[in-house]
Amino acid sequence: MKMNKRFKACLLNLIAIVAVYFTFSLLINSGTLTRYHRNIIFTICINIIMAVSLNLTTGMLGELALGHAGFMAVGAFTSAIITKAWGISTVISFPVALIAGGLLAAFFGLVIGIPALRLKGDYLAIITLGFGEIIRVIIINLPITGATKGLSGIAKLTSFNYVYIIMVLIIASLFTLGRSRHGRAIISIRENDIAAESTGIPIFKYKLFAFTLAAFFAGVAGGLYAHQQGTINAATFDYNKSIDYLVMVVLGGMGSITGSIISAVVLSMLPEYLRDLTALINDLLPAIKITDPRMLIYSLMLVLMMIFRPKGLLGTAEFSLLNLWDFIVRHVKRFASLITRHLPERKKAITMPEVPKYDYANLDLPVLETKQLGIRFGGLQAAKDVNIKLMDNEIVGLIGPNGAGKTTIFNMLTGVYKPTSGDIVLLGKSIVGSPTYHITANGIARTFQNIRLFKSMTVIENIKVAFQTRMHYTPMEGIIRAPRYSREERGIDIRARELLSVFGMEDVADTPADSLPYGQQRKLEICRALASNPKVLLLDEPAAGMNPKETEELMNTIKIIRNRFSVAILLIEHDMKLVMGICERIYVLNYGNIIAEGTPDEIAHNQEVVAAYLGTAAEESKEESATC
Amino acid sequence: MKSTRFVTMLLAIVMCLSFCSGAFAETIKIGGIAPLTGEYAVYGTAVQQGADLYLDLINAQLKNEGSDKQFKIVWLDNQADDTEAQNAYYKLVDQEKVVAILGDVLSGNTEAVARCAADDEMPMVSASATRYEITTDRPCVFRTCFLDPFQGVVMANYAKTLGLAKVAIIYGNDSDYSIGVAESFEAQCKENGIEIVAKEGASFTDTDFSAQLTKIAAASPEALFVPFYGSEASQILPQAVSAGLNNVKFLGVDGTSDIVAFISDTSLLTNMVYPDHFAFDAESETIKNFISAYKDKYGVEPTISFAATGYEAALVLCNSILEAGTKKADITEAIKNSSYDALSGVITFDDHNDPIKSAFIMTFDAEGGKHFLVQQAPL
Repeated sequence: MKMNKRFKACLLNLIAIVAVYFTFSLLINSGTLTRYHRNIIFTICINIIMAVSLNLTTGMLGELALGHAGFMAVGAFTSAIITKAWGISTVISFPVALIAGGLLAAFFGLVIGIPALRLKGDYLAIITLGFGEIIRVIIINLPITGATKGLSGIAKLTSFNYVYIIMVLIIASLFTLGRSRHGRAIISIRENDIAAESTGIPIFKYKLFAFTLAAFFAGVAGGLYAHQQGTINAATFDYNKSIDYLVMVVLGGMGSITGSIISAVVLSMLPEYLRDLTALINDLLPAIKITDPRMLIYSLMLVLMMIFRPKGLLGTAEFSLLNLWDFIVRHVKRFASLITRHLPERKKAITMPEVPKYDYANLDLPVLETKQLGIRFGGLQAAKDVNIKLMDNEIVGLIGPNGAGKTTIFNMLTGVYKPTSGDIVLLGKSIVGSPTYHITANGIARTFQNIRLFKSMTVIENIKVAFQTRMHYTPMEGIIRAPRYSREERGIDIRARELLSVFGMEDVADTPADSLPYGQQRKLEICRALASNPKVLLLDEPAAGMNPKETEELMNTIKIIRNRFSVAILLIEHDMKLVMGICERIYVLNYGNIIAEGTPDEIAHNQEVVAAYLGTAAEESKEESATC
Repeated sequence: MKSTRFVTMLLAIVMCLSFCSGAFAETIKIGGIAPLTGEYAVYGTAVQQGADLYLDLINAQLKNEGSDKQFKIVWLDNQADDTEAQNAYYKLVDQEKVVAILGDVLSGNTEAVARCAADDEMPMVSASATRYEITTDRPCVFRTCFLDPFQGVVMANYAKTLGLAKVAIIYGNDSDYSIGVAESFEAQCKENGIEIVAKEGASFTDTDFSAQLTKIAAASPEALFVPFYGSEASQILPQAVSAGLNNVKFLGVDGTSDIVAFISDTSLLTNMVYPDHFAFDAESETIKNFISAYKDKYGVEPTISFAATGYEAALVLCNSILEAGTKKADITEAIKNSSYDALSGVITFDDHNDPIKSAFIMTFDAEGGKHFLVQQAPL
């Protein structure tokens, strides 16, 4: 049933793509569409490529990049130089030039991305803006790019076939990429980068990948532009052009490919209509001299959009031909079923994600051990000489007053902070200095004090992100939907649903994560942590915000997890009922030091612990005398 | 197919729009492309107004003669954008079915349009594109303004007649216009035995030129060559004075002609001379008539010389069409061989399709009024 639906969607999209192609080819070849229309169609297609590729960085990855036109310029000049200099048949030289333009743009993307993507938000926006301008200034000063005059006399090789087919390929590959493990990884970074990294996503690599791929597409679009235009000038590719593309993405909805396409079409045609409109208005009302109507309309559209549709035209949703089709054919159902009824059900190959084999034989030794672990933030010693041992299948509590350094220890264990002294040994190996995603892949998973889910993704996608470390297909295999992609995706779909059913959440698998009630969001976070098959599970205040009944349920769940997944659990919690109820051992932390360790019973009667939590009589009298 | 129907509907609307603008059967249509909105609208509007003024004249004349022919220029705005310029060209040629093109205005846009025109062998006359290569190897592309190299030479020669021995240059290193004029100026100065004591590059986007000007002041030149547009030059002049260049002569270029609109201290302008395509206070009857007709139509006197070159471009095109008919090759041939009485004498074209015409050296009075100084003959 589900596969039929997907097949139907593919078929419909294919029919639409082919139909549009033949319609326009026919109209162009028959001369019904003049060169004026053709030029506008080319511009629309090129702008669509630019908008959807920028959408990859700005929408899917969620990083505001303002230098997209710079990559377009690199592609434009590179490909123009190649076709001008290379005297062989343009059937060969043009595609080669386009790809070379894309590759050089991708190279620039890589070089710029390595330093820039370490920054976030406004800083990244500013630095990409700067780099975009640097590219332009370099081009202005190079003799090979024609310096300030730019290049002219470029053969006009861009044809409808080229521009349309390339556009379709790029859009299709972005769609398939978005639905592969790599796309999920990229979106999870947008949703919550800290959670993504501790779910096993190498976030920097994926940021760089998305940025570079977007640059590649922009380079190809630049090549098409150069060979449409015939003359190119570096001044064209200034930050205003980057902003134009950003406006397209924002208006369409960050993260929505179809939204970007729609707004690219509208905004590319807008100047042509504005030209007539402005002339008309200026003729009728000479008093109001409109000087720059495009900017006026752009800003008006943006303001209206912010008021009425703050997430853009389509938000992060996608327009689906299938949905439209279903809408239309509701009355002609018979025809629809004709297409799908006789599809043979094929036996489908499935590859299950392998269960990691932790290379660790001696279970008498602790699975996780810290040795004299300490960290200092400037003058503040946040943790000192912390020694924690976690045996296999053990549930251990880490308690202490607020500000004692509990979460700091979790952050050191997962590689978020690098300890300034001591060692952390996981399954016999030191993990100090490893990046977070690496530690996750090697067996530590965690949840967060304040829930960090990938909110716009569905429940099951949240879990699928965590299978990342154990999947193997490449981005290319994801884009072309190679057999390995399908096998692995089917495998993790089954595993993810199994995992959800353990927690009784299989019914909500396809609902967005942020629509879950609070208790289930907590459960989902634990579920996601378990999906990476950890040896050690770190739970940071799992009962925070829960009512007594939910806490009760959570205690059972934690026990089930331990038994079923054979995992050692270290939990931070303030709810003493929970801690005393399920922990086998407890560490007490105060001012960054372990002040006590023992069974719940021992801890409950430890004087020092009671003092740390409640204060001692002596301290109180001292304070009293001090205030007197 | 729903989508096809939508597209056809869309096309129908587009075509309706285009039919609305073309009205009379005996009208000969010329396509006009210029930046009519945005930053460079002053130049585009000047060309448009000059050309439209000539259209009024010739149409009235044709009516008097009892001819059924009338001219019309269909103007399309290019917003100073290459893609828009090209779209405008295709729209004019393929949909409006114009017989010739008047435009474009800025050299960069004109390059994009001239490329298409050359491919189509469509006759085209630009009133203002000064870049040398625009007409190179394009037999159907002409212009009615002088060129960048020429004005550099003219200013160097004028510097010699002023008896200057040491001059400095500040130019925009991100504009081929500025670079080109500066180069030809420098070369001609050397030829004339004038020493270039300093040459400093700046950007057209800069607002602070004091670093370069301080350096230049240290070389104590007698004159400073400023190949910038009016908006930049209006910032350079006061900054040069504060940097210590008190009694130097400022030598401008044709783009500097609109400096009056930007500068706050107009007394600085008395030290400024620049070459123009046209002198509005020249003592000729034709020019006086032009100015009064212009004032009648638009209510103001023309300030930018592109109004005159635009007028001349329309003059060349209309007369060539009247002479040769509406076939593209015939029009091109007629323009090539034209020798029409224009504003500043008889206009003829050389082998490179450039007009053989002189430059006018202009200056300003303290109120910002322009004054004609001397005419520099062509090379």
